Amino acid sequence: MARKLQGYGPLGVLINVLSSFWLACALLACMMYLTFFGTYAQIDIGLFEATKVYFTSWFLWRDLGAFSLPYFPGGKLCMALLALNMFIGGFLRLRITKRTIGVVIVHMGIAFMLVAGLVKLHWSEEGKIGLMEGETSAYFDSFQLWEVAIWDMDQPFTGTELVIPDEHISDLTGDERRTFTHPDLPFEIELSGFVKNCSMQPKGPNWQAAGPVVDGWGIFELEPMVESERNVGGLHINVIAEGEVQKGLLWGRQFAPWTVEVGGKRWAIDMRNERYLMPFSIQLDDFIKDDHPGMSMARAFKSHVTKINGDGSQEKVLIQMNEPLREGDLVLFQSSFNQFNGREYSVFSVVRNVSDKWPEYALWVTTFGMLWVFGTRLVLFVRRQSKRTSAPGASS
Amino acid sequence: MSRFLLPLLLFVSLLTSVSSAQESSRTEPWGDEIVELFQTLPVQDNGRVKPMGTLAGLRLFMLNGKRTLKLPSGEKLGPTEWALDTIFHPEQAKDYACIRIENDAILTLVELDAKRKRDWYSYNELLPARTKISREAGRVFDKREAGEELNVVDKQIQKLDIDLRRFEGLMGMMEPLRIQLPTNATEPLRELFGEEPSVGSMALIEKKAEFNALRQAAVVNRDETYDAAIRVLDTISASFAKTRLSANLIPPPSEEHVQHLHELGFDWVDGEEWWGITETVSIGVQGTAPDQVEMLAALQGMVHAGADQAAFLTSLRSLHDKAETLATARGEYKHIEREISLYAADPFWRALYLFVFAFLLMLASFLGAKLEPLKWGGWAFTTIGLGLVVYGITMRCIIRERPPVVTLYDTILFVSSVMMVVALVSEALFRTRVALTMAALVGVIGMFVAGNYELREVASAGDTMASVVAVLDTNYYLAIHVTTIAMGYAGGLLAGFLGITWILGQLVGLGARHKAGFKALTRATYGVVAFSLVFSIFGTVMGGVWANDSWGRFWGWDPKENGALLICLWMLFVVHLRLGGYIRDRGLATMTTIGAGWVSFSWWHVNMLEIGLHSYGKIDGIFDKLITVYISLAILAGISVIDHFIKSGRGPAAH
Repeated sequence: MARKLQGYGPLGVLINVLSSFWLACALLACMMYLTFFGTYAQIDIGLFEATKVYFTSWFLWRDLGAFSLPYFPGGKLCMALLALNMFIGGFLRLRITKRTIGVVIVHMGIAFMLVAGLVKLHWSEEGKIGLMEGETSAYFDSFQLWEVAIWDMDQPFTGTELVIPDEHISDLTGDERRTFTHPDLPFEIELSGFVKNCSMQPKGPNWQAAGPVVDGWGIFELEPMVESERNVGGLHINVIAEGEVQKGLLWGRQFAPWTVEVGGKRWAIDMRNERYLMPFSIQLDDFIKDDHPGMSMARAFKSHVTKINGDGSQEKVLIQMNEPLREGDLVLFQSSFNQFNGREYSVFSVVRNVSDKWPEYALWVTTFGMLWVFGTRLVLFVRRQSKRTSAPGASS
Repeated sequence: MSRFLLPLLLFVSLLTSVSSAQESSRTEPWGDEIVELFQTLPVQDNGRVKPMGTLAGLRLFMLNGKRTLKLPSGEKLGPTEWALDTIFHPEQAKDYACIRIENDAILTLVELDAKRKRDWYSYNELLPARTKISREAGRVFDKREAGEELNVVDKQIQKLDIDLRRFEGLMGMMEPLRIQLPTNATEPLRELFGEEPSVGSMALIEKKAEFNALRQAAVVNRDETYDAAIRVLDTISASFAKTRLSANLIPPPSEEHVQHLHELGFDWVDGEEWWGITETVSIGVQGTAPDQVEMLAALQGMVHAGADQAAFLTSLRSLHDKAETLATARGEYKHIEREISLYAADPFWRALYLFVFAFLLMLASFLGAKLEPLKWGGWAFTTIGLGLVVYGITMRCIIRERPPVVTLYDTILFVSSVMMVVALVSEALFRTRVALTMAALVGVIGMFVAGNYELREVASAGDTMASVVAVLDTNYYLAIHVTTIAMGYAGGLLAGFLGITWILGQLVGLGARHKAGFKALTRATYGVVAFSLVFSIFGTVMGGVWANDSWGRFWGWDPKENGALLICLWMLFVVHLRLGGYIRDRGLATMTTIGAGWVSFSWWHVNMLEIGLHSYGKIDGIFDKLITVYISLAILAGISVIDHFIKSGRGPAAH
């Protein structure tokens, strides 16, 4: 049983509240609400948006026109409080005895699982690599996040470029604008008017462009897709040098970067999915879709790849469903495939996550704890029952 | 629509243009040895090798809704006899009323007269509207492609079209061996094949060297024999159209021989996919495959035997010996006899009878103290029934070489059996008789639902032991995640059953008279909740571990994951409410009753949301039933709360 703190003033009250059963119950009920409605929300707004709204937010917000009000705790707040509740109530304040040790283990296991989720949420990178047979890549692209990359076109490409990440771009909606400078750049960059999903079209009379029209072209805003990775973002860009402004539009699927000339040098500016470097390159040698005999249903998707390490050494690796390639905290999974002009194309999901295996460790800890708790109670119960039935006069 | 019209026109033209020989009727029931040998013939279907008896059973089940067929003459056909008739005496099988029409609206749609709202029709009765049925199925296909919602009639007309195609596939399976070939068109051909047209492709295969030489010579001479030879080959090719959706019953040759066939230009041949009649005839005519051609010759012997069952049996023996030898050499015959035994035993259906009997005995045992010994009968029947279910599940595991739960159909069998095991253990511990009654009731409901769902599974997947998609091809995670999560479902549902019993018992006034019994029931319920909690949490998190290995994320908030999480959260909620003293016996019963709704939501409902990685689409009939379950459980929980307030003196009745 948890001990109540007395005589510690407001701190004691706070700790009593944070470690209480009723708070645990309330948080579990809130989590159920979020899980249920977050699941249904996916039908309309898709998994990515629903996750942001319900599960990785501090609060659920209600839009009241002029302002928004929080009306319910979000998943992040609930899980943080639940972890705190488990830590204080199930560990610090619990009298540790042979009977309660299992409860402590269970709570620690689940708290560790939540910590693993937190680490994944904030410190992981996720993306994809799409390779035709014979192609090689040393980086992977984010599914949803965007970046603006700038490099000097007149210099031989050294692999170094200046990058403005998604966190400085995706909030530039409406009238928001932000200026970027760098010692290596002879100009300033002003970004504005970020649109989550759009296409670039010649401005016509029948539609209103999002933001100013540049050289007869405008941003045609589209409804965000339910599958968020299918959204293609767009931006307005101003390159400002020596009081002169060059206006442009950036789009996430543009075939070639936008080029500007400043001080006699040409610069390339590209909008693309955020790109993450890997410590090795991957070359797709062969992709195989292995069907069940006589059916078009695949029983295996196999990518035979060559992993080219930083020192030039090479390894042949097979990546297939349920058998990813793990290298440190980087994992490559067989994700999907396609065919273009008779050539096969394999897509790998890539995750860099330091807490990759933590949930599994937490699972074994939690399971051990649960078996301890309920196992010992069952044994006690059976003993009591057998004593009762063996007592004189006892009957079934 | 055009994609359907072309094959349809081809089909109709084939019906009229290709003349078949050797059409005959069966004059006596099939002999036992014929049935025995034919049902144990290995065939490859839906990605796995299974006995012909199983394939026949599945096809008849899809068409007829049952695995047997009673003829107007009183003769009762099993699936193997029905398949023998359909394959070898198709004209006779066309008159069998074996095609179930669920809704007469589809007959109105294709301008046919309906007998009753739901009835059985023969192929010949539907034949006048065959073209319209295909056209309507094409319309439904286009509608689906356009993303429009299909109504019941749409779905049923589409099913009818597929059923008819499968039936036609079986009827046309031997067409290349039955076809009349124009081998007497020119003098050189008559010298080779005789004055009468040859019947069946084997005639050509047996004389292919001479035929090819004749053809080569005809090319050089540019005479009419060249065209006549082409017509012979075209006739065979045309007969192939009828063999679609039949079965592959000829094992491919060895890897070395496959390489040889590749060199001859048969690139499509691989060492895994079995051959149908079409493939075997093609290779027999243009390539070499001695074992396979030997099987083909045996099949032709069976086709040509007509009503002569002795001749039929001789050819069947030869075919079976060869098939068994080849399949055994490939390691694909080992489960054939076992599968036949499983279907012959029909364990789930037989168990249903036992559970019904056990349940009735248990109900009777509550009527008076003198009838209490009836519970031993309940124990016996429930245990034997459970044994049958476990036998069936085990056999399915062995045959598939997979853990017990792979498909939704498996989950019904597995969850029911786990519920029964837990209920029996609870009964042994708490001796309330309620848990034993619940075990029998769960058996009745589980086997009944399984029996009903089996037809849906067969209709959609073609088999209840269907091949799995790539991501499920891991016995480790299937065993450790899917089975444990199913055990969590079982615990949650059983706790719900016990909770419902508690509430109903209180409502009818048993609570005051049997306080100790209800106390024991509460303890049993709490024990089952603990069981469910352990397995739900383990199964759910293990699902995350699997997802992490398959897709790179431990938790993706996918609807199925969320459904499982909801069960865990609910169970944790209940346990904490109980430990915190916020609920007592009634509260536990009420909460577990609601918990059964969460389990149903997670088990079935989330699959029908049409989002996420576990989406199977809306399953007709089940969605409505789920809503009924939710409403019933909510009403019962509400009544329990009202009852509590009334009995505690706070309700209107107290005044």
